[in-house]
Amino acid sequence: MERDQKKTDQKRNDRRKEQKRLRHKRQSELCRRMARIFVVVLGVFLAVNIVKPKKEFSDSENRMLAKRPQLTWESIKSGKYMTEFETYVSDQFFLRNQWISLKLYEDKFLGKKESNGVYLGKRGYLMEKPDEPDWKNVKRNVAAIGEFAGRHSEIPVYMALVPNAAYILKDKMPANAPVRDQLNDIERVEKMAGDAVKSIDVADAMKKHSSEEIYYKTDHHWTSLGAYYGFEKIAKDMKIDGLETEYKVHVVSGDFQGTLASKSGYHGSRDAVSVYEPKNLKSDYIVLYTEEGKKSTSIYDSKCLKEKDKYTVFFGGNHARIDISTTQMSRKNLLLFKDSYANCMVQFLLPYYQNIIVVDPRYFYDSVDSIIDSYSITDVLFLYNVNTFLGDNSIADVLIQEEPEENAVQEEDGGQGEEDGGQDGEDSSQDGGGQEEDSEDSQDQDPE
Amino acid sequence: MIFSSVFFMFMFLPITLLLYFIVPRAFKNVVILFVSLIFYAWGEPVYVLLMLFSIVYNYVCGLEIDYNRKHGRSRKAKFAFIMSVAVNLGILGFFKYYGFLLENINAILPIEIPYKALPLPIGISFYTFQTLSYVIDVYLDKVAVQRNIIYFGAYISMFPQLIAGPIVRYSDVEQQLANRRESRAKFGDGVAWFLRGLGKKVLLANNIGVAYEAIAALPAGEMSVLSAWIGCAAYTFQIYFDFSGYSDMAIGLGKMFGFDFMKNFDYPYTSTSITEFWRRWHISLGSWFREYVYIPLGGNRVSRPKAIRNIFVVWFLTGFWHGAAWNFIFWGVYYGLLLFLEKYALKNVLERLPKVVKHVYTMIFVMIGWVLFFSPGMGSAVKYIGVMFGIGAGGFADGTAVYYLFNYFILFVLSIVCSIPYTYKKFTQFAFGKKQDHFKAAMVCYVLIFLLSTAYLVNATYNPFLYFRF
Repeated sequence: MERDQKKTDQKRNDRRKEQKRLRHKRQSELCRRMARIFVVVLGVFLAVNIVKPKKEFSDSENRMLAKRPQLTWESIKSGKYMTEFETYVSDQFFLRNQWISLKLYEDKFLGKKESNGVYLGKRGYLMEKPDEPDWKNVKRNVAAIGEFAGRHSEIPVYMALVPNAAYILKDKMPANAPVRDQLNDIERVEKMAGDAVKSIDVADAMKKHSSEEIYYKTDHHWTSLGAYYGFEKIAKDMKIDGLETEYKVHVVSGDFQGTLASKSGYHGSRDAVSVYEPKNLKSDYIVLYTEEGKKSTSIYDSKCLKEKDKYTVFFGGNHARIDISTTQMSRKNLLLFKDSYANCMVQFLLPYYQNIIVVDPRYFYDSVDSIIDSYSITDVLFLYNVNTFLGDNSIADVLIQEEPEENAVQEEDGGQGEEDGGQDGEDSSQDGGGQEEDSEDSQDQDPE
Repeated sequence: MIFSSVFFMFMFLPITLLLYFIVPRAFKNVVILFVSLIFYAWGEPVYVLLMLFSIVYNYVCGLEIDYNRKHGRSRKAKFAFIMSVAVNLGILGFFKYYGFLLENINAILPIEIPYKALPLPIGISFYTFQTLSYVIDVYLDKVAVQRNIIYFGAYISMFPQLIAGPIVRYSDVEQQLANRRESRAKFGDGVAWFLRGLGKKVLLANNIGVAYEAIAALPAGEMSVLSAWIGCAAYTFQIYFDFSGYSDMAIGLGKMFGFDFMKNFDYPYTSTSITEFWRRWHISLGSWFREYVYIPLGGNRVSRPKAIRNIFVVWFLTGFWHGAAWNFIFWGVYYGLLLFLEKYALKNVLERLPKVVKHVYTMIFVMIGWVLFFSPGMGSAVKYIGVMFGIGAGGFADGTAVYYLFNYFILFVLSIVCSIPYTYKKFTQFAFGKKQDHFKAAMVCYVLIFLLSTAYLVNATYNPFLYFRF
């Protein structure tokens, strides 16, 4: 009996030993193969990366890729050389775009609904995530607008703030995704602005049409259709009579992939860009880009349809100031302060004004009041996207420029803003800095 | 330079390996020292001088202590020892705590001492502790003095554990510095460690960290109780996978060069008491403090008041070691208090509880600990903890919480799966068990981790230029 027990024990022990030996053998077999594969893969990757011809430009990211940095004692001492070299190696990694797509697939597998500050919505919709505004800065801008309206009390001053797709197209957002309540933001701005500024409730108009394609799927702008609905509401509030009833819609591009596609990396959808031609109220006009000294007989720039950002078909992008004189004899002259949302809305305004002066405060450094005098402006409109408006840091600076005696008053204003915002000096120096800083700027600002 | 970067993995590492394996044995430590200094200088071009000073100074101190002790001049030995410890701690204190100290002096006293906070030399907390372990052990005659400055330099600056540990004690690698054997199997084992660490860091920690950041950035008053817990859970996993992933990579790299470093993490989130948690979390730091602070103070073999004092001294220092800020000190003392309670008051109570309850108890206190750890200051830590328990919260649960829970559900599941030992045990059983071919499946897993992580690394410089405000 006891001997049997011993025997089975012995057997069991042997089996266990054998198993252990086998496991050890397989484990070391795996390790030895892994060693070989790892060394080969690292070697091949290194060789390919060194041999591979360097790319200068990335189409999908729309930027110059990093070049091999120059080796200097200074750049080594400061560590700049090393940082740049790391970027260089990563930027020039072989099959870079494919690796990036792989990363996006992984994100998708993990169920992520955001990429680089962009919501990945339903039905191919990409939607920009509105930023938390710096309210002190907003206050300064809005105070300047209110003051401007008060100064020109004889001219009606309107303000239309267009919400973002993320707020309007709630049904296309990822389920439960948190979105800023932009209506709340707009109301807050209206209160700040006071009675001198007449607000136009575009948000409501947009909401009514939220089932239509009023925003691009791949870009942060509204479509021409969206702009049309916005225009309807604006025209009503600004008492524009004799509205055009029929438009001919020209689809000028069918494969637009906008900023949100680039930003998120998702290139799944394509958008159509359309322009609207009135059927009855045809007017001739001349467009003058004052800064550039260029003239044109069209507000459209068809060259831009060959470029990546096809939204720039409207005016070829943003300009400090655009003067449009039409053959219309109504004697109504509009001064329009705007961001890029207005670019595709101007087409609807053309038939109703003799002069439309379009000012983009981000690039404009001249006197606004002289425009009002020399063109005998009859209406002023601030047309902005909510997110851009709340992140803007140039409106106040443009509006505050004035003659000496009034200057004193406004400088006080500006001074207060400076104390409040604490970053005014920085802002105005960054204004000219170009688009990249502009976009980053608004993200960097602290929440209230 | 960090391990989880394209530059390290596809430039620095292959070139280092090539150099290391083509030179004859006598030069292998030279290569280690050389590449480690480059590794350090890469991120800290100026502070590499500090590193060089540290190497030379402590090398000389070691010799002096040893010489004096062997010639019976114990006083001189003691002096050299104290000087060495003072200089090491002085450097650490100057770079790490100087700003904090003056900030607090300025706050208390009605004077204003101007100061300029210096950038912290990377890894100084780690390599100072490594250096101290050498000097102390030489003084106590626990290890032989190192006469080869190359070997000594290689130990202090060794790049795998230079910037985030594990804190390798000199006594652990003394033999390995002189004779170690690299082998193909060991190299492959190192590769496996490295890749597991890479996956933890890049695939798990970095991804779940996004959830924590998003929730932490929610405007005040809009965070629901559920959101707060989700954010805290996300951070709990982030810091574990980040830190343990980095340690695993370090251990793996060490193995590639023939070293064996101690394990730094041992499934800490399976602990059923705080005491156990600290036996499994950052093991090398815990054992350093035990060896060089707690036991020299008398440990628990002294009168009870002294033993309690010892606990709090060690945990105050542990907290302070993590960072020069009050919330780290509180974090350390918080653990001191918990450990004290477990040791003297709760011991009998805890023993009788079922395992599940003990586990939940441990995790709740660990998570609260992480709030102290991740908050920018004590004020916001208290606020966050308040929200977790419904004080000042925006409701119990809201759409935002549901959104983050659903979107990060897979990651949370993966994180849980990867933080219990069962998974890895099953994996090895499957891969190296009965069927001969299964180890190939394991290999596929490792290759996948490698490829999937590389995609994230390459993506790190994804930086589209947008005509955004245009």
